[in-house]
Amino acid sequence: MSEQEQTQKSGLEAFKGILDYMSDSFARAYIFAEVVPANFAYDVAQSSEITEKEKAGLLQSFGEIGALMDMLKAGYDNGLGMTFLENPDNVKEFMTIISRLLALYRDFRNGIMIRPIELSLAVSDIVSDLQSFFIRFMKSINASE
Amino acid sequence: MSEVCGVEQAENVEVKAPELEPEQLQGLLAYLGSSFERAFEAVEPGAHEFRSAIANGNDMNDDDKAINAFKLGYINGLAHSLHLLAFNGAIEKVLNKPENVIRFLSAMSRLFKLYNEYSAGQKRGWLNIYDGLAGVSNELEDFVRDIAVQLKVQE
Repeated sequence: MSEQEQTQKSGLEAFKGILDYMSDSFARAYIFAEVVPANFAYDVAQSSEITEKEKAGLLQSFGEIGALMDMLKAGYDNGLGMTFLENPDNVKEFMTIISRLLALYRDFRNGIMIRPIELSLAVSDIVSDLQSFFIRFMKSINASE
Repeated sequence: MSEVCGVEQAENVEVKAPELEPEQLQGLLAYLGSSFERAFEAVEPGAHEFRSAIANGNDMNDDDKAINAFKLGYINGLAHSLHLLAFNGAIEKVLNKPENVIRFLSAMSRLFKLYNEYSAGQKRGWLNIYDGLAGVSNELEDFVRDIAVQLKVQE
């Protein structure tokens, strides 16, 4: 582990309590990231460094992420797929996916501008992982409840 | 010269699509409604095309275009997620129930109606469009939730 990684890890240790608390429940994990897809989309739309075509693709992806997150939350609110959504491993997986989105958003807001094509690919990967998560959630409703 | 005049004349002629009654399209609707895959393929380009039309329009500022583009992405995300589910055994069965395919088509038809009205200049302005899109996404969200409920009952 590099020195930088060690520093980062020890820095994160200080927040272990709150991270464990948030990743203990799907609803908590959802709430802290609820507005991020729309806010990220809005900020990307304002950027002068991203072409209109790239913006169109990114806004589409942010919309998809928002829809998938909301559908998982709707399932939770309606008591559907609870075994899946309350499984700590699944909550942590959801948190990890969303955390990647938050990291991208933080960098974007801080002006750490990765190339638009890389941003698009990173966001597409998040969409893809959330879609897989959503499919497993829907299958779990049919399989185990 | 006469050819040039011919082109100019042709450009001035308003081409009007023939009016069709829904009854005349029953065969097409029955075909599309016979499987979720067919229905999805028929409606898939709608959100992309609508977003492109809004992006090229001059009735909204960039912020409002972004808000509506996000909403169209949201709608597309719901439709795409359903489409991905359509290849998963038990879920495929539920999605392919004729009443479910028709409900999906009906929700997406609202999107196309709004798109047509926007393209024809009958409905303009970001709030009008946003309200319409919110209606479509609400209907699709209800649909996804009901599919989940049907899956639970089917078990």
